[in-house]
Amino acid sequence: MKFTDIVGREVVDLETASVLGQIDDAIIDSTTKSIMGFKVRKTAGPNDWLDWGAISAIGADAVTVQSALLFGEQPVDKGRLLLGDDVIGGRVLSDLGVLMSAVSNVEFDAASGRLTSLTLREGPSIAASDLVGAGTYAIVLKHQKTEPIKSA
Amino acid sequence: VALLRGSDLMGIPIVTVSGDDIGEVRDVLFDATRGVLLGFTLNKRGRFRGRMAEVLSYTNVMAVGPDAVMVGGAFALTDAIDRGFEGLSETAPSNPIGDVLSDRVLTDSGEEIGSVTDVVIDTNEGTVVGFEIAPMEERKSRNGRKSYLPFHDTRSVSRDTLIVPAAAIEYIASDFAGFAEAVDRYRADLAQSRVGS
Repeated sequence: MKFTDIVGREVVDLETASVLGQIDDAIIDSTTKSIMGFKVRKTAGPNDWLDWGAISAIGADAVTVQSALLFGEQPVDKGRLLLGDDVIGGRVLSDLGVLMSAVSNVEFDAASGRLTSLTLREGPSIAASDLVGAGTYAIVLKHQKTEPIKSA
Repeated sequence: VALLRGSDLMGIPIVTVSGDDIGEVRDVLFDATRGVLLGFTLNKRGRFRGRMAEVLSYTNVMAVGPDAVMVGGAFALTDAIDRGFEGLSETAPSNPIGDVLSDRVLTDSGEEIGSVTDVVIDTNEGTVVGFEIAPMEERKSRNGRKSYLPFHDTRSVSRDTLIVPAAAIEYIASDFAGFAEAVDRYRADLAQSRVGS
């Protein structure tokens, strides 16, 4: 499943059948190479964070949760927001210290939350196993055999 | 071979594999008699620039690329004072690239070739493979373009002069792109002559 496809998707409470908000962003953990949870654009309540474990299902039309009570606080200093921290669109380095094309999308397994691949703006799709790190300066990917493309 | 000029590395960030920048290259330290990279002195990143107390020893470097020097983590930086001033090693003499710039280059037969304008580094091997040289006045029919001279370890360095074997002159390349080939040729010929003698 492509991350950009679920941005804006409704989050529905299975208990009350009400729409709680829309998916706004996701945090990835580059160590476990998985989605930690989602930031939700909400209509009510203070917390806007849904941990991966709080999700019942990611369906074609809605993301479902058992209860609105599962909203919590976004983890601090852990993981990187795909949009808010520029994992998508930000600087990418290979582990050989060469600038590469920016990440345009992240694909993950909807059942497990495991990242499967990263799509680059230019160049090949990269297996999630080649994601080395995601920090404040850059995303670090394993060097690819194909020619890296410099982003502007 | 992946050749870079020392000046290409000045200012590039030191980045951990987790993607954080923890400093930037201030100068490149190398052993001018053996032609090996020893490490880097560092500047702070961001608004409060200035020299960092820590240095980065080449043994702690994972990769040197054109856009970043990659390290395993912040632990890769070590205290300069613990290792002796910029020495990084007690036995090897260390020269910042800044020290050899504008040194004159003299052959062992006493001919002055020009002056050093940069150091050429093989980032895969962590070695200094040659020098960029501004040729002497009488050779400047090239509109101030630079020449590239392969490095070899049978030479000596003083405070302001590098002595190179006269034979190395034949391997001077007139452009950076062709220099890797000249280095390979020079080394192959050296190896050959050693076998022969």
